[in-house]
Amino acid sequence: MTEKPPLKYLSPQDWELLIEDFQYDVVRREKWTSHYSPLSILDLALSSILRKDFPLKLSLISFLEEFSDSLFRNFEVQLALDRLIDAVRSVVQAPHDAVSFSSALKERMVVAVTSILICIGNDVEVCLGQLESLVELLLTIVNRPSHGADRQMRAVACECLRELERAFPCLLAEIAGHIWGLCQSERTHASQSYILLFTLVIHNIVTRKVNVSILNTSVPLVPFNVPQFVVGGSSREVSGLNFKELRRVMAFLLESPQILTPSAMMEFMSLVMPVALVLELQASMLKVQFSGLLYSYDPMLCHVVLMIYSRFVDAFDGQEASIARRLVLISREAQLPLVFRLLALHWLLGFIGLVPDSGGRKKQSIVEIGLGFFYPSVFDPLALKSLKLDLLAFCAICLNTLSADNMGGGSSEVAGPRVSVVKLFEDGLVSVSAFKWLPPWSTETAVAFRTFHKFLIGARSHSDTDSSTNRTLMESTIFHTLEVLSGSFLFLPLETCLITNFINHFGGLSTLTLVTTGTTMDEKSAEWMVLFKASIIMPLKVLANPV
Amino acid sequence: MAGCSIRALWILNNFDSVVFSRRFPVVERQWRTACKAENENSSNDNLNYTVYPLLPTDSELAAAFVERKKREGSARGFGIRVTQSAEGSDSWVDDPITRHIISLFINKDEERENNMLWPLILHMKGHYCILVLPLVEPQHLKAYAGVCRRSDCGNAIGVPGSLSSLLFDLPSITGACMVAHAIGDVITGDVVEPEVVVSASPSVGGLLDSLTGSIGISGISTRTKPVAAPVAASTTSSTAVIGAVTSDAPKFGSRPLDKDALRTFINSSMPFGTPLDLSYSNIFAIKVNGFSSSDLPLPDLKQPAWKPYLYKGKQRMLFTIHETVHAAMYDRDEIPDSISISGQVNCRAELEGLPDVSFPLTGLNKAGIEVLSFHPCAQVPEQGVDKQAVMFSPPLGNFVLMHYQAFCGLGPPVKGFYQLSMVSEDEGAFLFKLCLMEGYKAPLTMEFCTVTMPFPRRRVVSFDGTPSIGTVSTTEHLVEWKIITGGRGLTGRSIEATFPGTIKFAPWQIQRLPSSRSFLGADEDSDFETDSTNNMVNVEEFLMEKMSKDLPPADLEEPFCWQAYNYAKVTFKIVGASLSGMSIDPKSVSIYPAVKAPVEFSSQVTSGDYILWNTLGKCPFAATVKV
Repeated sequence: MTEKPPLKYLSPQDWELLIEDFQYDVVRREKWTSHYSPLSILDLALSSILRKDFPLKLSLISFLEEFSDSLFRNFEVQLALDRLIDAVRSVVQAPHDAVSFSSALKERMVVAVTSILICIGNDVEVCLGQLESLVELLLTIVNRPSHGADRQMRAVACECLRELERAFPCLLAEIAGHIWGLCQSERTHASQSYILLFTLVIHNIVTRKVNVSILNTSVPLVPFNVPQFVVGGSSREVSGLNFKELRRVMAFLLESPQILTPSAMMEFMSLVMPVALVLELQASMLKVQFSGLLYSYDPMLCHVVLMIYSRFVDAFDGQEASIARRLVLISREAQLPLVFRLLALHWLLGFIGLVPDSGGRKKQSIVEIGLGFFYPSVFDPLALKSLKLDLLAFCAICLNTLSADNMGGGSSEVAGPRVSVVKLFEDGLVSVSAFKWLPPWSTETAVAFRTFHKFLIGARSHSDTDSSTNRTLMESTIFHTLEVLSGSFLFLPLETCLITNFINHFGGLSTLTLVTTGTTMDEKSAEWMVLFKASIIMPLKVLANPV
Repeated sequence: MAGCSIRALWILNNFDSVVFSRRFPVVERQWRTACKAENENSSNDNLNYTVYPLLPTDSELAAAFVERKKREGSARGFGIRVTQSAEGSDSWVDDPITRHIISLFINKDEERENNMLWPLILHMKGHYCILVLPLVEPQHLKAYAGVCRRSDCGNAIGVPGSLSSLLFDLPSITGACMVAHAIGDVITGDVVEPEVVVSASPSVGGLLDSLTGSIGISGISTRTKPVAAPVAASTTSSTAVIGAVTSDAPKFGSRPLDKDALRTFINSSMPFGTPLDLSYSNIFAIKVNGFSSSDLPLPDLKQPAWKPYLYKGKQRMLFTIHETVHAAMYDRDEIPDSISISGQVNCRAELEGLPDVSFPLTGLNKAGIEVLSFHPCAQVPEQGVDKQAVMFSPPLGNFVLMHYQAFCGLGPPVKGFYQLSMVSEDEGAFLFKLCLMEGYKAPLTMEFCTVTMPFPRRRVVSFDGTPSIGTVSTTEHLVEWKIITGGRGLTGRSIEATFPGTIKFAPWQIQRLPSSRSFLGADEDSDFETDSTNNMVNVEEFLMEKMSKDLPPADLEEPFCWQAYNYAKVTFKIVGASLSGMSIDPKSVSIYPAVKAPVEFSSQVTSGDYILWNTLGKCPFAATVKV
């Protein structure tokens, strides 16, 4: 395609329309791309950004960032990047001016150009020159640690370098020593960005096993050259990393978390953990330093601890119960938005799945915690009640397994848990007991039925093909417990029409139960009668209103 | 996969059109690379599912959102599996969290299999829906697609690929929820810092401050010139909300979207899509104030990212304990009253440099403190010990040092009963007998106390009765009894208050339910509207029966169907001390490096859901643990 002649200057209103059309859909986008070539759009945008009095500079930068990827064709990439890098250099070097070249504009511009280069300059060999120019510009910015006025700009430049290092792993490996030095010298709030940058560089060195010396600063910071092993893909692997140096680096890094924000902490730990694994650092060290974060009210920090746990399960041996207890307590924090309270219970379920079970100890502690903490309270939102009832159902399953394990010990030991399962079910259901008189479409009824369903089939493995556990379920204590339980409601005549009425109201769910337990009426009709009898307790109002 | 990155975010208005969107191409590039790798390997995959590598345009996203809304009954969705749940939909998963973490099908008409977009965090704030899409691995998306098609419902425990294990493995979802909430606060301007109250003292302020009793200091931008924020008023506005129909339908009337503030926040908090700092006050302080060459960093310490500025000026520390009391008062033998306290310690440390502050927390067991959670700046003490020391390096501005849940150490501040008896279909007699502040000693002061009886489904026609104390007013759907009003606080003594009366309502009319009635597939033609009064033993039961027939289902975010019950809600504010017993002794607060700074402490208690259930009617309750 031939380059179309540059068209007239676009007014701010034109730009607003163009941006809206690009965001809206492809058809409206074509309105513009059929008149303007991508490079002419770029030129017009850049000249507007570089003008003194243009009002929409930040929007234009965002536009370029979001759409460059789909805008430029292969043969235009280099030209586009050249223009962008010239433009970013002019913006960064322009004298600070609160109106036309504010620090916000400068920061935004370096971010956008970095982002565009990463997205359209996939092939390092093609865009080598542009990449080197950009990195050099960024390194010049970050190379003034602890200076006053430009600290925010330095932080942003570090973030840009970090994204480049993420996109082109080991790009900065040869200057890791310099970056470490900068990290140590930076004392303003920007130090977080330096630390994250350095951590990523180390992460890439370690996970890609690149043989570089971190203490050695013989390669100059600027002029910057992309390392050969990044360009050619030639391996710089050696048999071993410099463990001694790397451990020193880790000791430095692990001192820094208290200056990080919770978001940065999550990023930091996700980078540090793989390094710790490769370097075979003692997991207990990480545990001691970070497990306290679980007691923070910031959900991201709590999740960081869970991340550590999932990587180093053994190191937490013996502390599972306290972690589980804490997770359930997070769900009780009324100050937290509901979604985080629900998440905490899901984490608990995920956590339970990870904890190794030794000799039924796990089930025992789940039951202990459950009896203390899984009961819904009156003001818990129904969503939370519902999840807590799931957990109670899970407790009931554990109780059953425990009682089955204790079978040899005589009938009294079995009777204990049996009573408890009934109690769990009855106590749990109290929190939604309004199902007894509210209309069938009430949320309370839905939650109550769901719980009943959970108590009944919860023991079954959720693998659709596994039928052996299914049989086990049918013979399990919980099934018999429910039989006993439902028996107390069976003073009511079981008219077929009532069951039909019930099925009409809960058609989806009942069919579902049929499907999920994987048995047919003929096959297990006795059990099914129990199910239906027990189900009758749900729609009492159906019974109260003869058809 | 670990850490948190955001692929894109959208904000929709109440007409379901996208009013703001932001895509993060760098993160998107990671997604596409991962998809490519996954799809190349998917020949071994028994799911035979290729992941959708592209982000939808705004119009595609809006269309998908509308389609889901239709399919799932509301913007949030059913949340649990119901008759209408379609296989592959969120509610098929049968988990309430699918009202917050949703999936959308892009271009559903094209009948492609791989058009699912997940996980989208849905946060509703003001009249906006915020959707945030974090980066996960393609295999996680596939796992969720599998969960959505399982025949068995509910959450499997300990099974790989279950929803819980996905949420456990994906901190990016947690991060994205934080992002969604932060953005919600930015667009509604709901970014007030926690309140720190200063009791009137010669060292602070003058006459005006002693008159108003408190000054609120907000905002880091006010570090040189504190601005008085409005005094926490005795609002009772929440009363009406409680009894009202709650639906997730967004409401009109919020302010227009401040896109500039939003862009500033996003550009600074996550320039490439990876969140770095979600603190609104820090980001806007940096935007407004910037830095000058004279802002020198400390010579020996690194300044934390969460404290971009250091305080300079006269030093002091302020602590405010703020407790909210929730109570369900039954006055019945078989149901014990339940009272719980959500408390927090708010702090403002006007200290130079980067000092550490510590103080002992004593009497935690006595106070019945159940849960303690701390600000990230605190070094968390060992849990479960009666005596703990908290050590923290305070950020600038007001912050919440810790949250706690506790029991009420002092007994309920308002106790007694509320009885409402319907003498006919449209006429009721009621009686309140309350005791306020029984056993409460000075300096505990109840600043105000109001009791409201909401009747969201009935229209109050007339009302008769005189309380022993206070004034009464009515509106169409509620009766409000002001027992103690501002200016005449109750200190050092208790009072008894009774209020007998009668109330008359407009005749009851069958109300058509909103469309969400079909929540559980109720058949519109079912014969629930039978009008036979003959076999009913009394008016109450008859009325309850009649009125409950067209009750709409409660939202899963509500604790129960509020409209199904008769109750009175108490609102009050108590100052002078906490009710849990949580306290901070200003003398025991130590600052290192040592500095002379006065420490002030105050506390205030307000009511949350403080409910007196009609002793003669139905009431929701929960079993309590008896271990």
